[in-house]
Amino acid sequence: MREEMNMNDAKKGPDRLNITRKARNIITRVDQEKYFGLQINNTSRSELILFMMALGISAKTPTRLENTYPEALILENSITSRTISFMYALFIGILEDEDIDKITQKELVYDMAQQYANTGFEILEDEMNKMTDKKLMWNVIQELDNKYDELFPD
Amino acid sequence: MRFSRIDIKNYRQYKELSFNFSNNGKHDLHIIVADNGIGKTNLLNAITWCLYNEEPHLGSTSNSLTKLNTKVREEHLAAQQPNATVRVTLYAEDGADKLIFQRKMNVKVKSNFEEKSELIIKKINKAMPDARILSGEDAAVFVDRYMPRRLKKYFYFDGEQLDRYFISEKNLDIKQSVHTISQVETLTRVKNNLNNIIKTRRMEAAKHSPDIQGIIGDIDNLDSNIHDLTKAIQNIESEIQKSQSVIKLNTERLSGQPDINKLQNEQRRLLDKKIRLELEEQNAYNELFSFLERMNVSLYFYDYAKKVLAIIKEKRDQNALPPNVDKSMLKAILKDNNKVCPICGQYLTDDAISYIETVLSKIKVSSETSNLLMFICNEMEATIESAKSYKNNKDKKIRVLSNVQKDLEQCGNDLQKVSDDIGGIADANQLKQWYDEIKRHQGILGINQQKIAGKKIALSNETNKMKILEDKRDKAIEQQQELKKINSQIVFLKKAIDIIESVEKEMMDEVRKEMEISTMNYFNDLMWKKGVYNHISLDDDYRLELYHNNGDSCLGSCSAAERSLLALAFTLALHEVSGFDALLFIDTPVARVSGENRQNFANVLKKVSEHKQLIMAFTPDEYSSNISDIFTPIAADMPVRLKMNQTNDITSI
Repeated sequence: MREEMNMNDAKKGPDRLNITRKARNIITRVDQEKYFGLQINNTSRSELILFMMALGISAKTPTRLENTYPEALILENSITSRTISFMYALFIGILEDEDIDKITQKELVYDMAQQYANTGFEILEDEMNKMTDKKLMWNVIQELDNKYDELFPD
Repeated sequence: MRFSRIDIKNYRQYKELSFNFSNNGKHDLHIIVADNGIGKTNLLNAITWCLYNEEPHLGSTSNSLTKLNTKVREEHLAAQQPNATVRVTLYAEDGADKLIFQRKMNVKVKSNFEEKSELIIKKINKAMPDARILSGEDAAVFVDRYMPRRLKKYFYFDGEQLDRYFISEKNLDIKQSVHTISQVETLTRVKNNLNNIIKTRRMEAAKHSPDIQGIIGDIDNLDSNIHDLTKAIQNIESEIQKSQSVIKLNTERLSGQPDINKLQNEQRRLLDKKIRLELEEQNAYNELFSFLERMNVSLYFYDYAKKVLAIIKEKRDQNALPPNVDKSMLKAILKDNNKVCPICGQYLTDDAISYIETVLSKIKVSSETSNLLMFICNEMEATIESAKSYKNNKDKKIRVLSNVQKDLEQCGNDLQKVSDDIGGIADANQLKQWYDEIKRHQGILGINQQKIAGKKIALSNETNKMKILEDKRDKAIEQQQELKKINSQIVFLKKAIDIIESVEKEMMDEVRKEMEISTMNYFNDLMWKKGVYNHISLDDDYRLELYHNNGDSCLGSCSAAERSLLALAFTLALHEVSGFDALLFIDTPVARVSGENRQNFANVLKKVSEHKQLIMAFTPDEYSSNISDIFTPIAADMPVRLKMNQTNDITSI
């Protein structure tokens, strides 16, 4: 299935996920400090960008990429099916009542994923400057508790 | 015997120096005062070198230098004189006899090679015009008669070497020394001679009878075995006593002290535990981080997942999923101007085209879209389930972290307590040393006890065999008529030996009891603490034990000062009880005794000097007013003060 998609998509557009230069510096810092277990030998780049997308969703704001880093963060072949699934879920979620067939427009899907991930990187940098990962952990737990209560009020 | 003078030439710090010891008839007391390193102890070494060719009191600096004075060596090198002489001469008086002990040694100056030294003794008596001169072996024997080598540490007393005075390997030394000093040795010599005579008689008897000769041969062999076993047992016993003493001494020292070994082991265990727990804590954090990353995705994508699944359900309900018509192909047919069917190749009629348009309007989802939706469907379903499980899993993971942190905190507190306990020990290294000493000697003791058990069994077997053979021999001798006379001589000699042995034992017991009383008396006079110690005891092997008034033995818990006074008391008792007329040279006698307590010491020795020559070497600090006020007025000469030259290579008065 994935090969078929890839063969079709190869004719149609993006084959990588990009990030800004700023995001690249943040990633370097995360690797060095082993912040929140997000460093490369513990969390794949695919999982990292997925987590960044989720952070972006929590802020509900996409951020356009400016000053893009010349090298992609990850090529399509390395993106896990889990991450790809969430990229499409994100796009469908944003679609409102528009034509579902729009999800076949790969460049739109990738672009949206990149923008939300970009927001996520900004949030991460802010947190890294304010507190240790162990302290951040307790803040994240508090936020997730609130989100859980919101989703499952009973 | 007393010394009247010592001349020292080229020996260590002494280039050319004489000490005169006059006798005022009242107190034969002589004082030497010098700072550390000036040469007090080397004066002691000069005497023992002269008499015994030994220097038992060398410090670490002297140990590395040759005997020849360094300045003298330089002068000889400069003057190109190849040889120098080191010489110490002792002038002594023994009643009407004058004795001169002189040891000389030639030194090759360039290589510092010391040739063999030689002792010469001149004995001059007023009644005899010619002096009697002894050298070599004769001189050594002569010295041993007046000041036996074995007893030298009781004539030359080093106040700084006392801490190990009562360690038990010295006991046998003490026993043998008392044996010598109390003249019991004479009886032992007589006994040995009688035994030799018996041996000779038996050998004579054996000549008359080959049977007896054979038995005696066996007896000789057995005797040799028994002797070797006895010696081995004595050696092991000495080792056992030493170990027991060390264990006892250190156990007393450690009484009431914390178990430093146990504390340090516990500290190590807690440190290991802390490291392990810190690793567990980090793992627990990592687990939580991973969990929260996944949960963050699940919870924030929950709404999106729900929407996707709703869309999929809707399309399925509409039969739009999966699509059974290829929407793109239909669109392509309509776009094609030729209007040809791509499957059968026929031209499409207007009806056909109209039908296609109708179908197309009904198809809501393209096949590509459908594929994508089916692709992500499973992941969305999993996300829904994952989000629901957040709370339970979160609590479990936090509990794991919390438990580890609790253990870590407890471990930290325990470690701090143990570290504080160890830190609070005043001299942890010393305690550890004592513990290690106990452990080491317990090991040695165990081994030796096994060894000695084996040896004793062997000795018992050999002794039994010996008895059997001796009975056999004696019966054989009895049966021979011509051997009756020899036999009766042997019986007589045996009885004589029995008597001598019982007198020997009585004398040793008497000496021992007198030593106990005399040592305690001297100790009481010397001690500043009155009425604390009750008595001392010397067992058969001359192991000294000191008893508190409460009945407990307490040698191990005495301070260094008390032990040094006890050692001095013992030495004085030995001199008194033995009646041995030899001087006592004491180097730094009050090294460990402070302040007013020195007065007791001075008063006791003032009395001793009424009947014994005492030479004492003090540092200026030691020769404080508590001592000098008592000694200086009564001393036979003014105190001799030694000093060093500017280049620190020559000592003079």
